[in-house]
Amino acid sequence: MALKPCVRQLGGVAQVWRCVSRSIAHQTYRITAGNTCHDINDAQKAAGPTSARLPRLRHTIPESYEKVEVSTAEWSYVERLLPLKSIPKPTGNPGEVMPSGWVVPSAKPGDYPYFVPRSANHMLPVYLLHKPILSKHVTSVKHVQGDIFALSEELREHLTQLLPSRKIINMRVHEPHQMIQIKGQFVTELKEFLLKKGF
Amino acid sequence: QDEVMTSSGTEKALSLLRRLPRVSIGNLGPNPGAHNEKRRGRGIYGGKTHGAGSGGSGQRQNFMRVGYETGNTPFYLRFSYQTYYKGHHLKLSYTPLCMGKLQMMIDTNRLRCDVPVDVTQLMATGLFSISPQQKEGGFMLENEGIDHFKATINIEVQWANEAVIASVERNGGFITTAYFDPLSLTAAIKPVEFFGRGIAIPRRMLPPQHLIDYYSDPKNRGYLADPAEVARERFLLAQKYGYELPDVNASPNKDILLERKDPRQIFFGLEPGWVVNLKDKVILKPTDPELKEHFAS
Repeated sequence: MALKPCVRQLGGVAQVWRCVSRSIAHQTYRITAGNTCHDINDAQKAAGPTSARLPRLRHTIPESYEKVEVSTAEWSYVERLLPLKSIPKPTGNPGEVMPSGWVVPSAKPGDYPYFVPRSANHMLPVYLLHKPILSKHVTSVKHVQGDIFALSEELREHLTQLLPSRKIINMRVHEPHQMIQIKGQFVTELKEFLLKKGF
Repeated sequence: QDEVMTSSGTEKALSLLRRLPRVSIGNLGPNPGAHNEKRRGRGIYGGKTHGAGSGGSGQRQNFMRVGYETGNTPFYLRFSYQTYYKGHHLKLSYTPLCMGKLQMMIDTNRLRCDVPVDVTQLMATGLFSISPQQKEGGFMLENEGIDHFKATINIEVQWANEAVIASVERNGGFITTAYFDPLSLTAAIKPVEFFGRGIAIPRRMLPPQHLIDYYSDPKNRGYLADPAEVARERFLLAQKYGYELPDVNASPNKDILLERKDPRQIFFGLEPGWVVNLKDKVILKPTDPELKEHFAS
């Protein structure tokens, strides 16, 4: 049952002494600046009379390590590292197309019988559910407020126009969940449609 | 006069009863063939139904485990090792970051550009997760969207190829590739948690043998390369890709663009050995010359 001491220097404020022993659980002794000398045999004695005796060591941490200089000059660099508490709001003129292809929303509730707000990350709420093992693709438009059935009819018209070969557009309007589900992969088409409307 | 009715079967049974121990639950059992011992088929996966399942289960979504080949040893179990995995436990993997995504983060103000962009700033967006314990080294920039990249930034990533470097420098930005050892990376990706531990900022370790060449090469804009050679490579790359290198002195963000970390530094502006106290909002610096020498080395 050997004790394996591990000292970590901390620049003088607080020192952590960790003793790893199989007989006792992991112990961490946190000592303040005043207490510089820690006798390893204290831990050994705690282990019991049957524990192996190590040579008597005395680890002294120099007192000069405790002396620190307190400063706030570089605090601006620390503030830089702190992450923001909430997602920042994008700036830009309504309808502006950014270099990445992201478009600033321009539509307001009231422009149309329905309104599709952006998601929390300021992206369009069009999602694709793809289950490869079933070969299942379902495109859904979420967070639709207002007359969701009007939007669904417009989408049906739009897709029928885009894909004349397709005879049936399987669509499901779920009003309480504010979502429209369409069987198939139409993410790009629906996003373009919504962007044209200004959502 | 026969008083005892002799039946050989009965006689035998009675003699057995006299000889055998007391009948109890413990020594009774069914006759052979009494119970139908069904062999457990493990569902449809290699059991008695040859992978077909029972009844109409084939018509329902009862999928076999991925890789199952209806009984024969599947491909993924045929080989106990593959040579192309040799040393994989020693190699790092990097989170891919497409230039298009980087541009989108800048466009939507998700990534702040008023400070140099490094691992800490990219992790502060909350859009990525890196686990250094799983041998992840940081970020690598990918080619997708280099043509539409328009931002002027000072970015520090862990891996970048020539095209990506060209797209950043074309817009007047600067790119550096830097190595973070696992402990430094843990501190860099979650600085608040790290400062909460109350330990001194460690020195960043140098890259391992197989990576030191990459980070010393000015072509990769390695942080260990000679800055003069890096400047020369910037000029040559501009000639190769056919754009003019914008003058950094003319840009309004000159200070941000020219900020660089020391190879032993994890955070901009904060030196190894310092302890950051977030609660009292102060920085504690060692004064002992031995400690200072150690952390400055």
